[in-house]
Amino acid sequence: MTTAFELKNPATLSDLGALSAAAMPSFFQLPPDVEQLRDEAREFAETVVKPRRLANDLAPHDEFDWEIVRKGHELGLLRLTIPKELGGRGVGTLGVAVVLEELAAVCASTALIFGASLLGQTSVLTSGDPHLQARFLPQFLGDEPVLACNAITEEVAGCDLLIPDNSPVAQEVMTARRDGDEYVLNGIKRFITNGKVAEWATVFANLEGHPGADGLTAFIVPLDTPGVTRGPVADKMGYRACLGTTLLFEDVRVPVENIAFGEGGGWGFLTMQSNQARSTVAAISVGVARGAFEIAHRYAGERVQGGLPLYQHQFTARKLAEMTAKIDAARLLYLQAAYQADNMLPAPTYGPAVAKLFADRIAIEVAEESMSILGARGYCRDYDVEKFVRESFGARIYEGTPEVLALAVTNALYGHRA
Amino acid sequence: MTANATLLQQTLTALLDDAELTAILKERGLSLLFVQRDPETVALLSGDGVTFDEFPQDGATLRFELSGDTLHKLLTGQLSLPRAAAARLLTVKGPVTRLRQLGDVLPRVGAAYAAVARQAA
Repeated sequence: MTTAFELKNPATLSDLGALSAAAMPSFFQLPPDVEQLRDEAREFAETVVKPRRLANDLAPHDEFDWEIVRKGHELGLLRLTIPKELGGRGVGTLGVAVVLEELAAVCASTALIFGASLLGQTSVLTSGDPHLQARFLPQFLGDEPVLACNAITEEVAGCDLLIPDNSPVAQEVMTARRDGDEYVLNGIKRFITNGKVAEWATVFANLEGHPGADGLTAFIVPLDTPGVTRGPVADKMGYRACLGTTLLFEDVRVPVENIAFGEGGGWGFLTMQSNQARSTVAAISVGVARGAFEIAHRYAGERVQGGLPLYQHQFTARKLAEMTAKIDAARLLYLQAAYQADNMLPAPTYGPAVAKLFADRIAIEVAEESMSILGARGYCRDYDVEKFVRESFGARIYEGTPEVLALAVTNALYGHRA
Repeated sequence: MTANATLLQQTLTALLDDAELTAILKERGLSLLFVQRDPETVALLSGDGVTFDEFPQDGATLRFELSGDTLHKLLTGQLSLPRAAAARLLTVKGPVTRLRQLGDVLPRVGAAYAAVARQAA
């Protein structure tokens, strides 16, 4: 009989490295620099993030672990997408997605801290605006870690801002009124990841008198600008190590040169940014599924019932097989979407939307099955699976709910603006 | 105003004399394929010079698909590449991070375009 010991670390198709080692045919071979980055991120996740994840999960909802960010900054995770010639690591959406999967396989909260900061930077990076780049990118190249954030969601206008047909009737959207060489911002942003700790934010607001998608404009706002107040931190069921914060803007004056993509260019930029964000959040969901699966996989190889390890019981074997298939399929979808985002401008909305829709769902399914395989242990904090279960529900909300993603998919299928 | 096919051809042909530009393209391993719609004109700008219509279209580093109006605005500095992309006025296919390498290329093309347009007028 095969012993449980021999099965502790078998190759799994849930690991791209194992896929290569097993000489399995793959449509997707990662570029060497991304493979190297993945290995670095995996080591960082195992040696820096894993020892701190339980403490961070149990900490008060408004505490922030700068030490993890500092270590990640030393590795270059806060400057991943800044071009090499400017001092960054020069990777695209594919590299970011692969890194975030590795981090999320240990701690989705940590993945989101870095992911949200990179998302905030996209406005400055993709604008090609030398003024904005000279002002806002060097901060990420210094010795001290600096975070950015992306502010879209509002109190009564979350998904409405992501749906072109809804945006003209979105309620109480943040406004920007022109006053000389400045814009004056007023409004409230909610659940802004990194909002409590970020240096600056990409803030979406509607030009006064121009409701809807055509008036949406992206402003780069230093968060120490007079009139900006960092409000309460949301007390969330998961993703507890990253802080979702309310940001209040009261007569905040922003120079006109801090607009990325021009007046009214916010919607077009947002759709490009969403394609990148949805690819990388799909990767986070794959990481969450993988993290939960790896615990269940190990447990099913060690736990003996009826004289056999769990994995040799057909019902559990079926569960494990289904879980690996879901993870592998979701990974291929996000890799494809990220590849498209790196090789097409603007990228199609369909790929990232489908990738995120699927990955978010399978993360919940795989995490729940993993908890089921561990039985009572899965329900306890000591085994980490319950954390993955809580976090699996998070990605289904941010960067597009299933309902919003479904609209993006069907709009693409029927040729509407999405 | 739009960048009509003749103007585009004359502009790119004029760039053949810009040895510095072709050296830059060669050094960076860049080749740029412009597909201008209505009527369709295809031109490849690379370190080896400029060719029109008759060449394999899948070998270019970056492929730009755009209208004559958008091309005119890009070459005259009225529109930037990122804003044109965000507004879905053009499509770029290829490794988009390499668009940064065009920072000093497109102004040269724009200058040649302006000179050709002045002569035509």
